[in-house]
Amino acid sequence: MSFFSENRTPVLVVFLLVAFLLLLSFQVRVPDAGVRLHSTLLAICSPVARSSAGVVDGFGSVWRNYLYLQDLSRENRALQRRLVHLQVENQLLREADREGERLRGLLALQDQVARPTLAARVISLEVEGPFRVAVLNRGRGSGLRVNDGVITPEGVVGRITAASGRMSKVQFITDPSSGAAAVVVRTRVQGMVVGRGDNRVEMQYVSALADVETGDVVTSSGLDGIYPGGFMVGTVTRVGDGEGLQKRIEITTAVDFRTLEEVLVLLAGPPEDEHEDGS
Amino acid sequence: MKTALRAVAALAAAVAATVMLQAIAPWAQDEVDVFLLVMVFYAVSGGRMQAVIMGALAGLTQDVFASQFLGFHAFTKTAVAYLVGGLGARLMLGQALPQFLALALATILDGVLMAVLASMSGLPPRFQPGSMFKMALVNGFVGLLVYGVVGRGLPWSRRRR
Repeated sequence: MSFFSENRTPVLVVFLLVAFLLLLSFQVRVPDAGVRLHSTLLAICSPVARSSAGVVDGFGSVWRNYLYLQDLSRENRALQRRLVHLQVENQLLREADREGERLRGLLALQDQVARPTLAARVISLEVEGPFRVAVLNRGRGSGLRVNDGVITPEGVVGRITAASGRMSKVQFITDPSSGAAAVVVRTRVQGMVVGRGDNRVEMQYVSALADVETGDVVTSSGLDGIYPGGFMVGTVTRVGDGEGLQKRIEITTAVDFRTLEEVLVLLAGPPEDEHEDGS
Repeated sequence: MKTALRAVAALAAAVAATVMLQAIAPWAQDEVDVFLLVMVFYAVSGGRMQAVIMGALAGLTQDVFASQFLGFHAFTKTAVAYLVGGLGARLMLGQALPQFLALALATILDGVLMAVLASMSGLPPRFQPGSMFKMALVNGFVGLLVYGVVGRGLPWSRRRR
């Protein structure tokens, strides 16, 4: 008894450190519970984070709308939003065109139909530490679900890994624990794109005999059910010998994650709540 | 009760600062660890126990925004809070220079622990001494600035040992 009362702080530190290690291992063993816990904490932080984003937006908005070219700013933002949608649509159409040529138009037209998307703003970004994640200002209330894909006009960003009612967290494809099915456009060689923890990704499970060269464009293949096929992943910057009979392929991502501000979420299902929260 | 409310207010301020930094100066997010500033503030102005609890809470909150797994930053911040809190209990950290050194030391310790924990977790360890020292300097200067403002504005923040 006296030992604990005399050493309260060291005992507390040891307890907390062990508890955090157990928490880390628990999330690895039971990912669903980890997602729920993450979503709950995200919900707790949501009011402060969203209010702060609102304050910044508010000041920015005052500047843009009342002090600096009021109408032009509004029109410009509307056009930028439209441009984002059109660029995404353009990517889909280009891939559909390639697919059509390859299969001589035998595929059904339904493959060209885009999934519904939702624009979201990045309110927090982590691209320096061991993880590559961002927090978005949209959550389950806007129709997002865990595992929804996230893209920009430049290409694939990542997937939703936790979602509260009004915020969600995105794991980038550059995160070391991420993975996405991908294909080399020129030769249709398939593989799995895995983050390396820096700002590049690696394509794995590609045979040493496969035809892949530096400069080849890599897009999502759609086989993982998260990202539809045809979205730009990046460009091959190095091809070398990997483990065993596999190639080691390094890809520079098309998306610059450091400058990410707005993204599109590929919705999987209908929204739980149609109410838009105005951000 | 008052202490708990202060802690919640400090964490809320850290969250708000993180989000505002992202909107106003995204590049600064790589240079300034707001949650570390909060933790060190408690380590130099409160007791060691308070520093540890604040370190754990600040780390956990940081995990929500900047980690794929909960407990990662919480682990490092708790350990660093204990060490820096120990310094705070033994040395006079009321002046600017010792506070600057405490902030820089905490940043480096946090970075080293993160690299160790990352490699233990099977994540690619990203130990970059150059950027870590740069971050230590920036955290030191920004921390002094923030502590100066907070110290003048809030009477409760004065040293209570």
